[in-house]
Amino acid sequence: MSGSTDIQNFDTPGALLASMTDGFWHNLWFRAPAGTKNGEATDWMGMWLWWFCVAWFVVLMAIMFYFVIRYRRSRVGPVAPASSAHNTPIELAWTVIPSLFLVFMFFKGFWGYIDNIVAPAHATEIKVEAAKWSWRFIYPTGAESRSTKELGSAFQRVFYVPEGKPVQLRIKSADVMHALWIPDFRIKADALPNRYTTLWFESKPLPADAPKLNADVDPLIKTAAKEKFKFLDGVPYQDHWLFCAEYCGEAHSEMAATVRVVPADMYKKWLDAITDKSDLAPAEYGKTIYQAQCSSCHSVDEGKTNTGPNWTELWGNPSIPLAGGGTAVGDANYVRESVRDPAAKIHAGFPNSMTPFPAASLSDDQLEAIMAYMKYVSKFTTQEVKDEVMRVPATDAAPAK
Amino acid sequence: MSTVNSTHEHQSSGGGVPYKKYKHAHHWRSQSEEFDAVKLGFWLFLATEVLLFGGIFCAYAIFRMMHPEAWKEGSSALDWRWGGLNTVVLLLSSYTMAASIFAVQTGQFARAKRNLLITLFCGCLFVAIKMTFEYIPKWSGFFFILDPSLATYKAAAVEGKTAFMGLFQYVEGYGGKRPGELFTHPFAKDPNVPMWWSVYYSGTALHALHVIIGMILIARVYIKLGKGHYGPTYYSGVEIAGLYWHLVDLIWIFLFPLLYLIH
Amino acid sequence: MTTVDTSKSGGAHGGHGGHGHHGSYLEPRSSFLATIWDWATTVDHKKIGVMYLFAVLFLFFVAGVLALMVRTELLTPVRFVDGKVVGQELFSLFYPGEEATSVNKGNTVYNRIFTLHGAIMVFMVIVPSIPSSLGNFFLPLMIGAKDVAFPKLNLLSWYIYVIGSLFGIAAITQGGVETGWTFYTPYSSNTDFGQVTLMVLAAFILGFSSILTGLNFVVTVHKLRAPGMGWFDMPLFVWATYATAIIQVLATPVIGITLLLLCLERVFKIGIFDPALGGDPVLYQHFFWFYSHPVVYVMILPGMGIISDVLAVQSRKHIFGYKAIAFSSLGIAAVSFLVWGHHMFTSMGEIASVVFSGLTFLVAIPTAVKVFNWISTLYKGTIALNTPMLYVLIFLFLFSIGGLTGLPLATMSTDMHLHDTYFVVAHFHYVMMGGTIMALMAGLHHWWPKMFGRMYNEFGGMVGAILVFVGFNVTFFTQFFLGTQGMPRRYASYVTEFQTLHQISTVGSFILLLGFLVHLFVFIHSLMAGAKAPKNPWGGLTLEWVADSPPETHNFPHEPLVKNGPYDFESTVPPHWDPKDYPLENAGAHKH
Repeated sequence: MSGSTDIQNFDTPGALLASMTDGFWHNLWFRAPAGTKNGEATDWMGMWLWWFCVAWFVVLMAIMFYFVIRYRRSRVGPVAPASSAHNTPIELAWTVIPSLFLVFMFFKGFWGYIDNIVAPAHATEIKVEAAKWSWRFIYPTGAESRSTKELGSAFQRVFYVPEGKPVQLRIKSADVMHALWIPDFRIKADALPNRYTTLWFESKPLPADAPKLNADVDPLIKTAAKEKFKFLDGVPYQDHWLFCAEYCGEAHSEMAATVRVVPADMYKKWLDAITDKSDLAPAEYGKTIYQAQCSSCHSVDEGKTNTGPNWTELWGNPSIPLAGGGTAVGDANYVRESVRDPAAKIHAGFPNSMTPFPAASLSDDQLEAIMAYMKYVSKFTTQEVKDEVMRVPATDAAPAK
Repeated sequence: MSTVNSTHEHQSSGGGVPYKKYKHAHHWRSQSEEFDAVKLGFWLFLATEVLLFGGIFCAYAIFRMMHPEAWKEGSSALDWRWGGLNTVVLLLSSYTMAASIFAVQTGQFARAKRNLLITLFCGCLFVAIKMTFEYIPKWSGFFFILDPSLATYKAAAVEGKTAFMGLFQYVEGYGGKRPGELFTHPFAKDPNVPMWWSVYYSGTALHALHVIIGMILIARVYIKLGKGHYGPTYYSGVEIAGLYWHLVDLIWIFLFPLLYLIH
Repeated sequence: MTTVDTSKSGGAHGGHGGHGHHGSYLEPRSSFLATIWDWATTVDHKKIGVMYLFAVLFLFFVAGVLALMVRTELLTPVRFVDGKVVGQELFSLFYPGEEATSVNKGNTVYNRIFTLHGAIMVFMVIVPSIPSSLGNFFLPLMIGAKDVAFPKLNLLSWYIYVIGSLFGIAAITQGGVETGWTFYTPYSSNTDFGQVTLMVLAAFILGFSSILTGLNFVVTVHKLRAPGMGWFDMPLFVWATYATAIIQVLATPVIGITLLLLCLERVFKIGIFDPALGGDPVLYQHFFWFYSHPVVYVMILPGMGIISDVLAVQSRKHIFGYKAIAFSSLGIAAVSFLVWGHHMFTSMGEIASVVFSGLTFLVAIPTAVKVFNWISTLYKGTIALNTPMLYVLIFLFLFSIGGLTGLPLATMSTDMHLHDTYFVVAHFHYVMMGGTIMALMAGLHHWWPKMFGRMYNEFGGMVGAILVFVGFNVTFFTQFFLGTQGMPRRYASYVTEFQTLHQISTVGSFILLLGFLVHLFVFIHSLMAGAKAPKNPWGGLTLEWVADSPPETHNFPHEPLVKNGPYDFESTVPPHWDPKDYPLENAGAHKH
């Protein structure tokens, strides 16, 4: 299913389906097939809408032009023949039938949207920070990418991601509104300064004719000390644009990046190579903060109760009961709010006695580390996630929880 | 008639009260039609005012939901007695406004003027109370020396630190309750209390601005009434000023419990 | 003000108990200064409408020139070649003699240009375009009134518009604004660049003009209809203007408070939109779009009203489904208040997004019904192929595309890809320009003879219309592809892959310019040397065709009596129907 530009033939059902995600008309609109299965579903909906609009438009315009020509004054004369001003069956039909189509569009759109929002539980979480005017991907091990590529008028960062594995992006802005858009994956989310937004994707398998990495594409292959990235030479890859899609000032059009898909094992090696192991792992760092500032009220041992809620039941908990009714999801926004403004949501059965920690007393980076530690101790996260945040080296025999 | 000045026709010299000579604008078929139209138009305008304040009420609701502790702390810093007094003042002024309309309708001009003056006075009183006993102490820490609540802060009153010819007395640690980034009150417990003050000042200041606008309208009516422009056969201007004043009162009736009474 | 020949209508008029026959409203006074003073202090809705018309058309050209500058900048992407910046076409215009060493200065020029294009177009052109010009002029005429309900308030609206526009021009000349016309926080509340507060105040002031005009129109429709004109005897342009006026009255105060809070945020840092102070920047978006979505219906509904009237008259046929169109105007006005969140799918929570998506699909239904009704009106009509009709067809073509492309934007999964891209830019230009402006052109040509007593050159009008149509499609259809392929909005530069499409779009924009220049020439020529217009060149049945061309100061010599419906072409002889132009003898169902 590589980018075909042949004029499409619609004679077989398979070809018809393929034309919705590839082929002449599709690539006229989207340049190339989507890079993810969810993206293909979005493309299917997009192409369906395109043909729906074409059909209605052609029919309407054909009728309109026919009437204009058939009933032009030079042909009909100055007085119009008698006709009715109503036709209830037709009026009902043209109200009800389009409405049915609209209902279909609404539901398909809604389900597709949910698919793009709800990440699988085992997705690896990469934190994205948007700032004027660049992107940062902070990987679960706490490391950041150092590769760059020329895009537009500047050199922009390149973020490596694994092929065939779900990746969740947790996005936040450091200053004004931005938006993260990966056109090839057909996903976009705003980057807000006061809470996280999330997106997820799972890249399709790399095509057989994917280009191979070399020192021209990523100079670090040659220039990095101790030939750290030499293993990348010859690895197949696929690059995707990442654009800022919310106006943010002078260099809004320069605020871009590249998302580079490589095979999953190569991604793991790359992640290992960029991680500075002399520094504490995120969860390790988080543990030190926990011990100093949080352990007096919160326990990390399963079953123990204390003044504040137990952290083994926090991260990833789909329904934390709240005082006053209702539940909350134990996600990054909940944790962040509970630290900065604890009174906003109180866990049922616990007192409202936690002192708020504003950014001055617990920085955003420290908050990130705490969240990494929460992932490590939570009973809702997978072993793979725990290993990532504690930088446990991957072994072939590691069992997945 | 295509210029601004020619809709009213009244005698330029000699006796004759203007309102008796009132002629409705030429594009109306009758004066009652014009009067109905003016009232419809003004009700529409009042709707726009309601929507304007709607934004403030919306912000109140949303931030209250987001920061309940800040709202509790902030509203407890307001003295419901001053707010209550202001409520009584406005309610009284609404009564006198309605009374003056009735008086004009029945040709009791002296009574009408008297009631308009009382309404104006109440408006001034409202703004004066708000400034002297609420805004100034909270913003700057300076209490009016005749303020009864000054007694509770005797301990924190800084001797000798007065302002405005000794009329205002400084109290340590009370002032600084300002919106957003201007907030300097040293004893805030909740980090979001400045937001409470932002909503409080935006809402009450916008309302006070409308009180002043209403007073200007009423003053204008008072002057025109004195010149005989309004009477039992023509009183739309008085009614309109009355409607505006009642709206101003109504908005306060909503602001007062939300800001002062709910905790 | 050029002196225009007045057309005196023939026949005696005095002695019916009303006014005597007066001169046309365009008649100049005794001296030039007296004429200026007359126009400056007028409360005549026609004069006010004409002043609005000229202001709107002037500002349309100004904002159009800004658009051409945007398109010129986008001819080439911005690159570094040998350490120097290339591809910033506007840089040398604003910084002559300077060499750009970084892209930012040139980008800031571009960012200001696109912001001002949007701000001027939205606040100063499109919102007042039809209601304040054609609405002001024809609403009283169509209901048989002498003026609007509150003529002095009308003049006040005009002056508030002038003052607001002056504030805007002051902001532009003192550094401009580069926040985007949407002023999103925290960028707009924190930026030091330019005159944001001044521009926001300009928009705030302009809002009052809109509110007071709307208020005036609502009361006019309720209280000033001629005897015999019930609600369902009104022309559909009146229905459309009425629905628009309701939105103006109810929605505009919300942008008022929003802009006021933004000013307080900027000046006093009250923190309401600042997360660092406990505020919420997305709250600004909710407040902003609560007005700005209904305002797009303020923009299109009067245009739809024009289409209904022009189509019916130029096809000399009763409108199909009068009540459906009338009620759909009100329905659209009502539902328009419920869908603002569809501008914010990527920054709202899931539940809110779902609700807004569903409601957005709901508003599509009455809109589609209108299009079907208009096309059905053509059936068994007798269609004149002139400039107004051509613009009606252009409207139907372009607005259908605009409306249909709203569907992928309402669909949540596709919107995730399309939001904030050129697809959206293309969509809203198709509905705002392909809709409102084309309808304005149709109405202008249709009512030009009535307004100014002159015919325009029909061939010139058609040439202009075709150029505008071609130019528009070349400019904006390419932008749909740009959007789906990956081009974000408000970009001063782009990846090389998009250059060809951008260049095609720019070529189209200059064809558009040519079309509008042709129209400008045709209109100026008409005012100076156009043939004198008869009272009823098209054979319309509504009351504005009873008045003179141009109308006398008080519109009608005496109060008109409504005897027929607005579109009863089959059974009514049009007033002042000149047999020379359109002979009536014919087979067919009509009675004298």
